[in-house]
Amino acid sequence: MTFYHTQENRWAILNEPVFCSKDNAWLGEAYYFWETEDDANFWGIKFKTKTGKYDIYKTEIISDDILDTVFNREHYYFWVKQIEKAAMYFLKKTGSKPTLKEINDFFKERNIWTKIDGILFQDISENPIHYMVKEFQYKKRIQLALYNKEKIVNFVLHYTGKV
Amino acid sequence: MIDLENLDKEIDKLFEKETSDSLIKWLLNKRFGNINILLGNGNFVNMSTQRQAVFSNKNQAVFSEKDNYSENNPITRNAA
Repeated sequence: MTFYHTQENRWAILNEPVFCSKDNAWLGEAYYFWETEDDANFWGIKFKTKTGKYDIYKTEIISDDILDTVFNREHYYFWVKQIEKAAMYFLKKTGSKPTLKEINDFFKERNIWTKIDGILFQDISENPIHYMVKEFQYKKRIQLALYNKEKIVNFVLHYTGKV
Repeated sequence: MIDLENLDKEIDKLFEKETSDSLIKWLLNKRFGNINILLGNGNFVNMSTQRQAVFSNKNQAVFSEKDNYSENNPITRNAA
């Protein structure tokens, strides 16, 4: 499967993606990729603005062990069940609601997510070009959080865009 | 292929093993860094079971009572 990775354009071309450990990394600490070039491009224009340019890298991810919560019905319901199970236990035993990132980090650190290569997930895009019909966002914004770097093949600079 | 059934069982086992202490510690470390450096590795103690300090004031503040309000309070007084 082909995926895209957006980064600030700096002095060097990357030969591997940047590992994301930020607090807003909703699927936990991982390598993040976009399913579509549109979303990769929009992310660059909107959030990679410091140097006035952004780079989009293209790569193949070769794996049968991605938890596909977007297109696979069985995987989706498995995912929902595990997130709700974890949230329930955390709330019951700590009195505090965990974030999605915390649940995913917990599964990773407790060697659960080490049995999968990554998670494909979706939300709704803010990209105005996706609002082609009135009052409804029909298009998924899909991201891959990859935990296993070994599955990255042919990571190359695709193009440089201007903000 | 991911073995969902097996993974589901592993997650069940994981939460059966985790205690309140282990989950609280994990969550605090995640949110505030390695707090064990400051607090040590002992068990968490519920503070409500601890003896009250000798000099602590037992009177509780009642913020809803009107007697804290003054017509001459500079915050509520109209500008001249």
